[in-house]
Amino acid sequence: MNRPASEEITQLLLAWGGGDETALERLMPLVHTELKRLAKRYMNRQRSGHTLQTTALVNEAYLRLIDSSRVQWQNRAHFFAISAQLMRRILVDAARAKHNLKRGGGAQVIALDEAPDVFNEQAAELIALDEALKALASFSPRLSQVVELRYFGGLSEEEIAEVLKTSTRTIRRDWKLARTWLYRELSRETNDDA
Amino acid sequence: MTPERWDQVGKLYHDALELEPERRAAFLDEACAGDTSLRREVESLLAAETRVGDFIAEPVFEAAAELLTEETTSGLAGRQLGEYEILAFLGKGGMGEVYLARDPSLERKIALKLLLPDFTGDEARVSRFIREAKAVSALNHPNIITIHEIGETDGRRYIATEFIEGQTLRRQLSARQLQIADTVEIVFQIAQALDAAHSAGIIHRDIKPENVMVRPDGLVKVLDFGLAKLTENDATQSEFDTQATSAASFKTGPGIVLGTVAYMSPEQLRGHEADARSDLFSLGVLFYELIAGRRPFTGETSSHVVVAILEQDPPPLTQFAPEISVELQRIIGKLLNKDAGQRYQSVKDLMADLEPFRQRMFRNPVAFNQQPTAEAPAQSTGKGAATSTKTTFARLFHQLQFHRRFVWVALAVMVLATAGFLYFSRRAETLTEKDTLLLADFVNLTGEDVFDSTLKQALAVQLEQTPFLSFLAEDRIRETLRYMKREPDERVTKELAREICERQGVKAFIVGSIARFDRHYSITLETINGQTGETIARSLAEAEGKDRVLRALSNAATQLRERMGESLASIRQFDAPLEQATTSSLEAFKAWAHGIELVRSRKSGALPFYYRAKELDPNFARVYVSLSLAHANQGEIEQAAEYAAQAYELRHHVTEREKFDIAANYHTMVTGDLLKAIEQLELWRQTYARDYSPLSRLSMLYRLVGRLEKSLAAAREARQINSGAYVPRVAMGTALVQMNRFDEAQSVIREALDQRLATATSRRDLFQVAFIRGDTATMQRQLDWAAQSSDSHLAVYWQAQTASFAGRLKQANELYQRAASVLAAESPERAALVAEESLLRNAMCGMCQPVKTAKPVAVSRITQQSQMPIAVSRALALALCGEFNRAQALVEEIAKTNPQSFLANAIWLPVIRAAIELRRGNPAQAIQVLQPTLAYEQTASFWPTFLRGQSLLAQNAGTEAASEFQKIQDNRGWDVTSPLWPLAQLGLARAAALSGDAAQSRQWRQSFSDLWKDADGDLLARFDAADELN
Repeated sequence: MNRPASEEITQLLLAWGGGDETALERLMPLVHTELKRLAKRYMNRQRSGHTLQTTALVNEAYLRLIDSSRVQWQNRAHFFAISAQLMRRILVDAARAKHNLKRGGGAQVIALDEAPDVFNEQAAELIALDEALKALASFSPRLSQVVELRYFGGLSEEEIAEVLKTSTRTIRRDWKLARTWLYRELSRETNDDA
Repeated sequence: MTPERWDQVGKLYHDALELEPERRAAFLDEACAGDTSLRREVESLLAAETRVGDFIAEPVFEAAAELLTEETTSGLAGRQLGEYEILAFLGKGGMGEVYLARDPSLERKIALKLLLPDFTGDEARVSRFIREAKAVSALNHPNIITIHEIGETDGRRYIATEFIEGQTLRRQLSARQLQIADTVEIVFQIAQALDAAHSAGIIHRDIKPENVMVRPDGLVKVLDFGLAKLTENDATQSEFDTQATSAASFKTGPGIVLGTVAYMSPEQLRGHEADARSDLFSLGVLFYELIAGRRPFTGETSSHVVVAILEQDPPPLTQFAPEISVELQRIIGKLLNKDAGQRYQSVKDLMADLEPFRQRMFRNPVAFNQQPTAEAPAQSTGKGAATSTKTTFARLFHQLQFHRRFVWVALAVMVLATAGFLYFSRRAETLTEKDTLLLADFVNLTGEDVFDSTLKQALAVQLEQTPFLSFLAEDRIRETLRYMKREPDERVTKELAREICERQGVKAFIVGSIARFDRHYSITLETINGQTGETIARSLAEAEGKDRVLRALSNAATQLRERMGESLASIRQFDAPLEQATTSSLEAFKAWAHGIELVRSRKSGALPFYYRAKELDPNFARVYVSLSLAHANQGEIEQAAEYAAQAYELRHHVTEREKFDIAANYHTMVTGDLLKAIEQLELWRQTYARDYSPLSRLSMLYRLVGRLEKSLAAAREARQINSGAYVPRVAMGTALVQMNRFDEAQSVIREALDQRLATATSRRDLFQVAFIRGDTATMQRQLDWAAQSSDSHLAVYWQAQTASFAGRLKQANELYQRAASVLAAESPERAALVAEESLLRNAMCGMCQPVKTAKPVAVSRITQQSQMPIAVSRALALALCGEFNRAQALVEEIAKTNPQSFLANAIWLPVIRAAIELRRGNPAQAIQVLQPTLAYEQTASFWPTFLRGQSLLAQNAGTEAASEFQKIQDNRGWDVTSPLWPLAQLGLARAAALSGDAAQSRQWRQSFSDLWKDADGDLLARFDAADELN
């Protein structure tokens, strides 16, 4: 990505931080593209033995997209919040596409090389998690957001506290409860299926 | 849940967690104060907390990477590629990415493989791959993936194939160990695919579990034929020296090196060309792996694997599969022999060895019982991965587990079915794929005439779909009846059928009967052992009402095929329902069948019946083929083309065999692309190895494209299959004459005459051979015969040809005219051809007046005419006579009308253009234009050779010119009566003069004068004058 784009992204981020909600809408597609591009590169590296961390991914996206000298720590946290939100959306969409294909296609699909089978379960789990998160958000938007930032965004508890303007302790408690609740919801669903 | 309630729950949860577990109950008792639902909620969360483990503890990085990568590479999803809509990303392989796509034109799902640019750089290799892939796909083999299209768009090559719902064998291997019975079945089906491909001359080169898919119903599909060729580096062509170069000589994309090398044969690794036996080695590796659960040749690196393949013996199979039989070990050992000469030499041999084994598996009821118990544990733990590997029986069992109360009923049915199968297979064991059957006449007990010949024809259509069965040709039946001193068209009853079987050594016959009770019809089909009279198989079908009879017959026929032991896979592939394949109208079918009967017994008048059939059912595809052929036989090229095109429109509603027929006919009659027609016929011949029809047509087409040896071979094979047919006899005679093998031609034609299998063409050939030899008595006998025949013009026509050959043009003109006027009433097209030939022969001799004043001709389709088409003849005559503009105008029109015609583009247009250039004084240009015709000289009536000779003369290249004219002298059979042959002697005389050999020149001049001793005076004067000038 070239500098003018970086300029634009920084501006948008600042605007959003300043309360301009429309800036977010314009910001998202730009981040989206970059995240995907980076993910692909990471995957290729991972094939040759490197492991991938979402935080590393988001960090790199941030460094590439943002003129960090002009953005404060808070904006950085905001950027991570957007990334987490986007990551969730992208992943769930991808998982859903995969899942629909399986259902629509009936049996197994053709593949030239082998993709691990766990991958299909992961897709299904992601979709279920997304549904549960939506349910959670209906009565506790904050908990849902904590999960999003932590699981999809790879943010630390401190960073989440920064984004949500609350204490790290609260975030730690929220995370624990949210995880437990989600785990119970998801395992209940599985049991019902069986 | 409300946010307030949730805050309550959250608080209690956290507070409780602070406490020791044993004190939590008391705490909640107090805190919830009788709010049981609140308490239940908190308690269930506390319970969940103990099990939560590392659930979503770590960020989603791995799934993210996987999914994002997929998403990135599948960026094409939702996009359009060519005409296809890409639906989803399916997978990625060494060759490229595979997508699921939709083909909107046919509303079907397809798999779309986008090839990586690395593999498509070498054009020659790509086109070879495309050719092979298409040929294999067109085999329409049930075990070979169907390729819909290979194309290129946005600079990317893609292959559109059928979308197979199933798993690769690799995935099945990783999911579980396969039963030996399943393994044999899978290997056998792969072998079937290889057998079909090998007979088409195509080697897979990359048999491995990744390239084999197994559908949930057990059908095996082999993928990627010939694709391996794309990945080989040129280095593989050089001799293998070290392991390092060998490993390096294969593309080293991620994940493909090891997999590919592990299945390669020693000779492939050494860089030698892979043949069928190489595929057998790879199949052996796969076979071994399926049984042992590991590969026979392993190593830490691909170099080690290479060494193992080249030098080491695989560990004994008993080490991994103690129960394996000695025979199977022997079979696999033979496949894995390092010396190709010691392996199976063809897939057929392997199949023959597997076949009894395979049947033993199926016949052994113990095997059925073992399946479900072996499957059961996999079912309870597996996540559906195991379902597709089960055999039919095992799958059935699996389904039955969900319906326990039906188990015993179903078991009883299965036992009965098995008993029935064993019964029939025991009886039928003498009936193999190589046997021929006889179709007896239907026993019609209804008293309704409409069923008389109709049902036998309908049954023939239905049964002839299968490559598994072949039937004694009608001609052979008639021939046998003649030997039996019976009428050739006598009804073949059950008794008569048995007698014919005995005489002809036919193993079995099929007889059907239809009976009626009120509106209720019942049809019985029976296969009967021709030697013992025992019933081999029987099937029954019922129909309510006359219009359902064809459908019932179709069902009964399918059932009969199954009971005669044809595999279900084969039946699935080759079983278009009768109404779809032919027509639902019994009346239409009857009319068509009647027409066919007339043709088969070489009677005329079939056309009106075809028209009637077409009227009754305009979608009856077969009728259009028959109409097309009938019109073509009358020289009505346009009508023939029209019907061929209509049949082509309906080609999706026909049997597999008819598809070949229709496509070949389309290319022969409509586009004139004879090479494509030949391709279709070759595929037909490979799919239905004992079919007579493709061979008989190939014999003709190969001759037209100048492949005389192939023409002869096809004709011979056709004769072998149907010794009572006349087409192969005639084709053999004509091909032999054209090859200058006059003695053989004569004896073939005489034999045909003796067996009453000769036609007017045979007589013409005999006449021409006699003409070459100066055997006037034989010539006269043929002329006498022709004069008496229904084609009485032939006698005059043949004489016209010999007269013009000898330079007696005036006489020839008169004879041509007489022949044309005799023909005019019967067939204006053929009359016009005769008249045109006269004009051209005048032009050859420099008599241009008639050409210049002749009425203009219409340009029509040039398809499969064995005579020079009218427009071509005229254009050539005009060119020879210096009428360049008119000739050029015709050339353009011919080219426009015949963009795909082989004869027009490969032969005639270059010839005319060369004639124009030569007469315009551009001999070098003429020689260049003639270049493409070089390959077809033997079928072009001396024209390319003669014009090249003349052009060389014009360039004063005496020696080169002489060699062209000499070629004409040496190949009289190319066109026995053409005046170009004597004129070539004149050419030789001039060439010799150019080279300064006056004696030789005089000798040729004398020879020419002898040939033309009775030639028209003015003509001789003309040539003498021309010689003076030279």
